[in-house]
Amino acid sequence: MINTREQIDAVVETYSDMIIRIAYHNLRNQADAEDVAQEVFLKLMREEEFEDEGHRKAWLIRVTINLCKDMNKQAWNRKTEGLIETWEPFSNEQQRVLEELWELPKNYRNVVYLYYYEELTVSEIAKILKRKENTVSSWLTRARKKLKTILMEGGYRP
Amino acid sequence: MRKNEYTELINEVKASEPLKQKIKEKMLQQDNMLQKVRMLEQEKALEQEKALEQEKVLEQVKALEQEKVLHLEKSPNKEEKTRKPFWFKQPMQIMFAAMALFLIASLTGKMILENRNLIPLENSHGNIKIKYINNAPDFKVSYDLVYFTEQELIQREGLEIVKGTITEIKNIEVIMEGNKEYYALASILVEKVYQGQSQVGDVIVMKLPCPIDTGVWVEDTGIASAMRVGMKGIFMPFTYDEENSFYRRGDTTLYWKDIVDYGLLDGERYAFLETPTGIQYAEFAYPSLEGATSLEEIESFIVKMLENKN
Repeated sequence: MINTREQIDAVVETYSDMIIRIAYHNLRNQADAEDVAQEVFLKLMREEEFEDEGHRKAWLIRVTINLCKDMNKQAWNRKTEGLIETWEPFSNEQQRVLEELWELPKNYRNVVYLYYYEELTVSEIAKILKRKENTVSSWLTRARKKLKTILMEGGYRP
Repeated sequence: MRKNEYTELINEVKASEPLKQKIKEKMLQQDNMLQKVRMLEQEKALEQEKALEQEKVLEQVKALEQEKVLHLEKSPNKEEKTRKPFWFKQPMQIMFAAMALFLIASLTGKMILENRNLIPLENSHGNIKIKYINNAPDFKVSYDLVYFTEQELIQREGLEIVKGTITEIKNIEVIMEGNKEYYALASILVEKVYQGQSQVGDVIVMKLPCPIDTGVWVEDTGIASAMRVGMKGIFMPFTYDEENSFYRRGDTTLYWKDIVDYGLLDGERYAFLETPTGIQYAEFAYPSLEGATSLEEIESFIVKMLENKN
């Protein structure tokens, strides 16, 4: 249980970027992502105990994705689905790539992020998303191909 | 797009410092709130624990009280206190019991009264019972008087001839072999003795052949039937002896001596009464007394007859 200032500082510093990124991947909106991040940490305060840090991380990822789904289900967000709010520090080129990334279905985006950035295994991703490993592998393969195509068509060359 | 290209891109997406601070503050606020909530919950839990303990104590007390009540209910005293009164629950039984008690009391009382009225018999034997009664049933008895002359009547052996006053008359019922007969016992305060063992001042009791002042009419007992307490007269009862004066019916024998020393042989010829309406006696049996109007005249006649006897 987190109940000291030090514990709060530590957990926020460790996981806030990850939560923001996942939320941004799912919501494509900085303000919504920040709202989700706040909500996730407040939920974390109410959680009693975790088996280990890996368990805590997996819990945070799952809760973030679920909160994003909840937010996307809200009527207002459904209507503004097409609006993309780019992250401020991104360059124009980076923003274009992000827009291409968001062309991927949500599940693909999450799998790509968790696999490439958080370096989670297919098995770990499957547990977090509560899907079969084969499904996660399939999503990952499709996401790679599509992303390659999109970027190739877009002429992106880092 | 390679992994490093992707990560470089995503690295740009970060939580800003103001956001982190905001999150931390909110977490702290929530922590404070949660602590307060936890404290309140703890207080509530303590209160609930206390309440539960109190409930347990109350339940234990109730259980003890119930046990006590059950114990008392099982005890005889409590049973008496809590049960409905017996007479409320079992009215029929009470009624029958009361009736039975009444019958027993009645029979017992009757037996006691009967026994008290019974005359003890010393020598008589068999199926016999004699008791004093107030009234005899209405019936008629007829005797055939054997004719005797004046001399034979007065000079008969065994007669006690006295002048006196009737002081008491009691009716009796003689039950022999289931047959009932009624007589009376008259007490005479002796004032003058013409013949016999009694002395002046004695009270002799003689049997009358009929009950007195009842609905019974007994033929040839006219003089005896007229006897009342307070009347004066000359009485000539027969003196019973223990051997020969008895009355037998079947296997039952009544010795008159068991109940009385004397008895009128019939109700007409052995008594001369001074009644409010004048002298009464068996005129048909004493022709020499024709026209007599006082006991003195009769007394003179009797004395004369007794003297002639001697």
